[in-house]
Amino acid sequence: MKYAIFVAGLFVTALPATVMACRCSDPTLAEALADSKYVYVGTVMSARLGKGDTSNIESVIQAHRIAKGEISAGNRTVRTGSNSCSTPLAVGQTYAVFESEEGYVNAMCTGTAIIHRSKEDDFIRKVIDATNKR
Amino acid sequence: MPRTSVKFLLSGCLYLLAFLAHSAPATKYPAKLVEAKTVSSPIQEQFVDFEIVVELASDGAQKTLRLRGHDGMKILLWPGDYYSVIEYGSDGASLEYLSPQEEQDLYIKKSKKKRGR
Repeated sequence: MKYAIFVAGLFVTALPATVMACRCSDPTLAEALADSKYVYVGTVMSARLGKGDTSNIESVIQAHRIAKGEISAGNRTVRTGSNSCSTPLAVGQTYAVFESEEGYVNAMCTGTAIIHRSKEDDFIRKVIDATNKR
Repeated sequence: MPRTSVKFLLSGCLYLLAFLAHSAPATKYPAKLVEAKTVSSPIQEQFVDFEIVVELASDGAQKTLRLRGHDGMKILLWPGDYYSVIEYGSDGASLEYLSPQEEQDLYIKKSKKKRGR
């Protein structure tokens, strides 16, 4: 039994870091708002791998409904990552976007997620309410 | 057999051949998605086509292809991920997720290449 535990322990420690899944929980709306400068609903128009750095992806999002931040509707170029703790944005999909001050968007553990058109009004209203409460 | 029936039969065969040549998948290969962008479809506004750039897993060559709206929206286009590219005539294509076996084969090939360097 001890031998089995030892071997299992060796196996776990030998796993490369990239194989291990990122552990994080979905933030509450208040937490997601606190960590983002701009919040909007937008459709991902394009995305491409960064030259030389394939873990860095540049995406263009057409923001069409702004919920937080002094920005106007239109195209926004943002960075996303592609690693165990970061999921890129899928091109052609519409997202509820939480963008950081540095122009970074991560569709994992940040509140950013694909949103259905029927949920957009509800999302915008909730964000505006939560922002006004703060 | 009357001459008109022969003509109909011949033209039917030609149409069938043309249809098969157009619809039959020309090639299927694994490739990494490098870039994807939406291109509005001239046929129907609600169907958005996609222009994609893929990097072939075999030799790293890049290809620019076009996905029709139905093909593009049924799959999540994530640059950096590997897909199975099904290329049709001209520049038309569709993407599929790699099967677990294909992913494993690709991983083994890549690690062999790295060791070989």
